[in-house]
Amino acid sequence: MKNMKIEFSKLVDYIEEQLDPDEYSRIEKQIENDPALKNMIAVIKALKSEAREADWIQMKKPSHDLFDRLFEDIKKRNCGPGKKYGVNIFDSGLLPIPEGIRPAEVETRRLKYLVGDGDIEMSLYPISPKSFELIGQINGIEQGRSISVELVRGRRRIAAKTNEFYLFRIPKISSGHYSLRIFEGDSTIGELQLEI
Amino acid sequence: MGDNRRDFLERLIDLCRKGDKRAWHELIDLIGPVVFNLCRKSNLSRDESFDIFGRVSYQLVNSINSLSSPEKILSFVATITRRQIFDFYRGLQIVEYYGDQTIESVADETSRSPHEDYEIVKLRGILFEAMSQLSERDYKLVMMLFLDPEEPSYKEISEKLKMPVSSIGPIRAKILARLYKVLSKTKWKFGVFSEDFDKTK
Repeated sequence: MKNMKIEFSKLVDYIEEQLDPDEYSRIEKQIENDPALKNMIAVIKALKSEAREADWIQMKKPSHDLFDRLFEDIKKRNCGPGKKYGVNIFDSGLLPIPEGIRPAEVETRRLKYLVGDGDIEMSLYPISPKSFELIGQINGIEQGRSISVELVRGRRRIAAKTNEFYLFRIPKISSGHYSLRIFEGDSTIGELQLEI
Repeated sequence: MGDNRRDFLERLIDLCRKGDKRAWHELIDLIGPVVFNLCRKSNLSRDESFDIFGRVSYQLVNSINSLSSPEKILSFVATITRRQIFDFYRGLQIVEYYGDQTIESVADETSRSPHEDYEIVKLRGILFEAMSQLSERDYKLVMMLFLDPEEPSYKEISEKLKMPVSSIGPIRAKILARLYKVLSKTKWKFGVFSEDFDKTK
């Protein structure tokens, strides 16, 4: 195929599937006989179809929003000692509501943070339009340690102990911005920001 | 090839290293479809995929300073995404139950086999390396023409890239020719089409 001139302007239409059948098969023959060209077209076509399939249109905004939060958390964490500052890596509240589903106040929100060498998962269950029950679990801590948490908003503090599986529950909290601190005895082993 | 076009990805990564939020969003737009696509192929739900995206982003931010080959960013992201997916399934204890082939054997709705998908990931890396030798404008044009899921019209592309609609057609052909030239010098020795390649050598 070295002596046949490649029609690059037609190749784009070929990729876009906008050629008439005769032209299409003529260009296809050119491609078939040129391995480098064949590879290039195959990859571009595969990437094009992947881009269409990847749901990126719906996921772009939540991904940017999550990334901004995660990036700020990492910056704060890097300023302090011992990776104590929690990095938000998942928030179901950022995801768009699937088509055909009515927005409902009863939707449970789930959050995940990386703290130290472990992570913390939390679920917020609405009990009224502006108040929630918070249930969380701390993972990555060896068994048998005395771990408690404290939710702080201004001067208000709500403390909760964890059970043997490091599960904790705060039965009622209202909307607002909170800090969640994690303690082992009197020492702070983690802290994260939480917008409820 | 001039300096302007040579190192678009390098400059993008450099801006990310400096904490430029717009550059990070541009990088996220580049890697996002790769992450979500790999998750979809591994049969993860939307929530699970978003979780994987967060973990991959976390790793990317933490390793951006030590990334030695910016042109290999997509291969790097594909690798950490696969690892995260594997860890996810291991967390569910499915991997131990069914063996290490689980990820590869997870049902895939596409017509391509896992082997072909893997090859496409590798070829994608080579294509993006070739694209990194294009100018910033040409690079963005390729992205918008072929890889943007929103499939922008020529008018939208013209507005975003500040170029006349009439010049998009000729430029896109020139870019493909340039990519072809770069790729012809590259060895596409592996891949789903490697047999054909070997026959013609």
